[in-house]
Amino acid sequence: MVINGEKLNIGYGDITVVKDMDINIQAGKITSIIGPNGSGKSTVLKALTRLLPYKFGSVYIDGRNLKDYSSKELARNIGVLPQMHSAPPDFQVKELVGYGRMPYQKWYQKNNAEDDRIVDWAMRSTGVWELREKSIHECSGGESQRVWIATVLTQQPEILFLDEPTTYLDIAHQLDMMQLVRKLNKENGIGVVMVLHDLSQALEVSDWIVVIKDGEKYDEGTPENVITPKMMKEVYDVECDIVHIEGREKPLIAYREIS
Amino acid sequence: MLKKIVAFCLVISTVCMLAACGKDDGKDTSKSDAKPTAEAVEKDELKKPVESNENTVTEAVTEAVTEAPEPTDEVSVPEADGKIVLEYPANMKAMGYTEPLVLDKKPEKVVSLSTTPVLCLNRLGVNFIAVPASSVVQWPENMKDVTTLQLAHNTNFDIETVVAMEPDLVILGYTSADTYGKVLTDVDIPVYYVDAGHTVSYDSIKLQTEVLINAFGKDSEAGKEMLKEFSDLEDKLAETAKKLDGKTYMALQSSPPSHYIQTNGGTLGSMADMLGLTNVYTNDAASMAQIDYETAIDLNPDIVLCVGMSPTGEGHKALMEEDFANNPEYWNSIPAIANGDIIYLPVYFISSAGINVIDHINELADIILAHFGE
Amino acid sequence: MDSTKKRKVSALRVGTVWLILTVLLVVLSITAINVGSAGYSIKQILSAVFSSEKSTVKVVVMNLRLPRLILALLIGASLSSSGAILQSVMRNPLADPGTIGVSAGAGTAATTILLLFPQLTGSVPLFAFGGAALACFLIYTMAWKGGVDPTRIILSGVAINSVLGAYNALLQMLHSDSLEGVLAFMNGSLSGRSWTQVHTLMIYAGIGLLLSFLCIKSANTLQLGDEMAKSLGVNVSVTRVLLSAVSAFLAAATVSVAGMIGFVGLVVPHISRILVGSDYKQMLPTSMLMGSVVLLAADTLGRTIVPGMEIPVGIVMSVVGGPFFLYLLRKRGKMIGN
Repeated sequence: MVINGEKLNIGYGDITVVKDMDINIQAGKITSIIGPNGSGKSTVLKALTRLLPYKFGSVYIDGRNLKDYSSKELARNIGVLPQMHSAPPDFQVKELVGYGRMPYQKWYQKNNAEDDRIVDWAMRSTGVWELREKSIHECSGGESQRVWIATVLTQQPEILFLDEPTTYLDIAHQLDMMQLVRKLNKENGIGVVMVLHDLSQALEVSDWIVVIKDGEKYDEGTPENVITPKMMKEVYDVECDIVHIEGREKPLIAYREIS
Repeated sequence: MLKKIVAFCLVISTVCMLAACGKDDGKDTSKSDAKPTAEAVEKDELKKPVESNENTVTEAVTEAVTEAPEPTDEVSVPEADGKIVLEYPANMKAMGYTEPLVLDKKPEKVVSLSTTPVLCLNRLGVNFIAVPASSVVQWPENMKDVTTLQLAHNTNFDIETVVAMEPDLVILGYTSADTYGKVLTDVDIPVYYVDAGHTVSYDSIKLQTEVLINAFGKDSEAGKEMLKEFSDLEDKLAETAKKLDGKTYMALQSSPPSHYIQTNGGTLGSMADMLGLTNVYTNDAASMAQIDYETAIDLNPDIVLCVGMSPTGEGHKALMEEDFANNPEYWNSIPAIANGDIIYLPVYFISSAGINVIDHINELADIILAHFGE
Repeated sequence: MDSTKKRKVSALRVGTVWLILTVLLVVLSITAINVGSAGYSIKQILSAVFSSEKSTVKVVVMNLRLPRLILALLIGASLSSSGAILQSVMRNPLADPGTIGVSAGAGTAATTILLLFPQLTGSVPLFAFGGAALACFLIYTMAWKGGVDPTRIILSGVAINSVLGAYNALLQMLHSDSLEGVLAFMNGSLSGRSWTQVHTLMIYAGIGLLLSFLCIKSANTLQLGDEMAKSLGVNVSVTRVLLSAVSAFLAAATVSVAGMIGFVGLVVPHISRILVGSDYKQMLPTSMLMGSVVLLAADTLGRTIVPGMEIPVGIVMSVVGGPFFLYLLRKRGKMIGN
């Protein structure tokens, strides 16, 4: 599956946040969208997933206009985990994950055996199968985030869109999440598009990085090509060095010391 | 939360308006209200002391003399000096209105804010410039140029309208003494108080009429006529009572689907009592209460009298029958209803406008006697 | 109820709650048949009901108490169901059918008919229903801007409720002498209601309650947040409108038969949520059961607590519901839900 966004103008009300954006997502790859606060990264993601209508431009999924997809059809092809999501704390994990099957059902249908099988698979893949009888509030932050990923996974999407999946997690869970993303991509062939704040994670995990600044695409390419001291200075206004360490595949970002 | 506050304020304001309406019913006709009040209870007590005076009053009038046998009676005044003396009847005196109102000359611009004395005064030749608008009575031909005041909602009535008319006498229900009465006396407009409230009884109307005759038309033809109408009625009532002796009734005042049952203190109930009928329902606390369906079914009156807000009996009948049709098994368990011993009355039986109560009681007597085939 | 330690909801717990509610329902129903201002003994009632001959006891029980009982159960279930569904639409556990103008619309229609066209009094229920539907429609139309979101609906509701309330107050002021019928309506009462009303409500409530069950899944999904629901392929605005329509339908049906009864739609779903959790699969049936119990209790109380007088069920609910509502407000921070 390929997603092409051409000349996108996206905004809220009268304000345009993203201007003239061209963006291409390839199936099977992990793409990260990075940029400073307010640059429009989440806006782009929302436009691509139709959570937000765009004003000008077009989005094509496999050559077919995004607007031609019905909500359910779209939900069967792409899965989105928005930044804001909530569930009543007393919902059971497996109940919640089960909602991911909704795009495949008529409004009066319940989950059948096939659906249950997929739900189980999703829970195992994200490592929340042991938690299935628990309620949401009994899960830790990291665990519940994985539950949400399981929910989206149950939609069996070709591409998974994650809007800042690690922002509210502690370091252990952040790494955990990245591990999961990598696994889903490698083992299940699911494409991933993430909006990330942490550049190190973006560097380590991504196959492709898109840098957004002030609503426009600044650069895109492989992590090594894109994450450079020059980019860091111009986009983030931050001084750094890119350091290569023996035995590590990807380099590290060394920010200027705090004096 | 804002909405709840707004709604709460709306409810409070509506409740206040309704409460005020219920309290200040003075200027309106003797209408009965849904809520039984203390005033209605007072009316019951009024009737008793009056009866003892009845004979002496009649005597005083037929003698056509100024002196009355007992000091509590009304005193007629020599009209030679042109002064008009408005005494208060016994029931009003009992409430503290002991000093008569004295006017230097016959008033030419009279405003009445109560419907009760209007018809009587009109027949005595008193000139009105304004009277209340009434849904219950049609003011006679000779009053067609008189201004009618919208008093339906008392607390919002603008008393300035009355002040601006520069009346030389204002007749006011005593329940408004502290409000409108005060405004008027402050600008030196003479105010005469009459009985008012939810039910103005027959006896009260009669006493009031006698006082007014004495003030404005002693010895006049009109005065004599009116007094005769009272005595004719009372004769007829004595006859009727013999014929209807022992029969029982239930008085229902309804705005379907809500029904209120009257005791003999309610307007309709008191009329029925005067005809010699006995009410099956008694209640010491109020003259009218919401019907208790479960106990009502055991009352078993000989006849049911129904009154409502419809201008005609047929109109009320239509509404009531429609409501009865919602629960026929229940209503038909009251034998009087099942047997058709039920009479539907128009709205003027809820309230009367003064002296025409005589006509209404006459009418009621005729209807009921006809029903029983007498 | 321990609000700080949120317990997991198990099937056993739900089953227990339902059992208790059902038992309460049966007990209350029997009580309601047996008590009343005409103090009949149980023996009297039983012998009268089962004999074929007519008697006042039989009439009282079969034509006054029994239909009233059924009506109370239906209304209780309908109102609480209506409130429950609306709370998912508004994503706010403090929403009740009054918010979307059902009460104001019905009240306005009823007041207009009773005061301006009294010859049509018999058709008040029909007009009340129409008024409720119209007010609801108005509110949603005003709130629509590419879709509906809870804030806009509530604001629109405030506006419409204000206007209708003012109109009602004005009308009542101008016709203050004929208010008995209006007051009886506004206070919500089951007095004198009989089989006619039961038959009417059975149809409306039957349809409405059935529709409610079909709303369970959508109601649950809306609880996940607008974006999540959208990403699952749900058309959020359309779902909101459809759920609101079911809620309005249920509430309007009860208003047209019994006048305006508040707090049931607000308080009952809330308590259900505490007992069996936020999943509508359990919460909705629980609300229906509990609503029936609560309203039946309120009505029975209202007609027996003061001998010879009937306190309208709407007033009993307000008296009890008001303080309870305040109590809920105070505990809101610790409540399950948004």
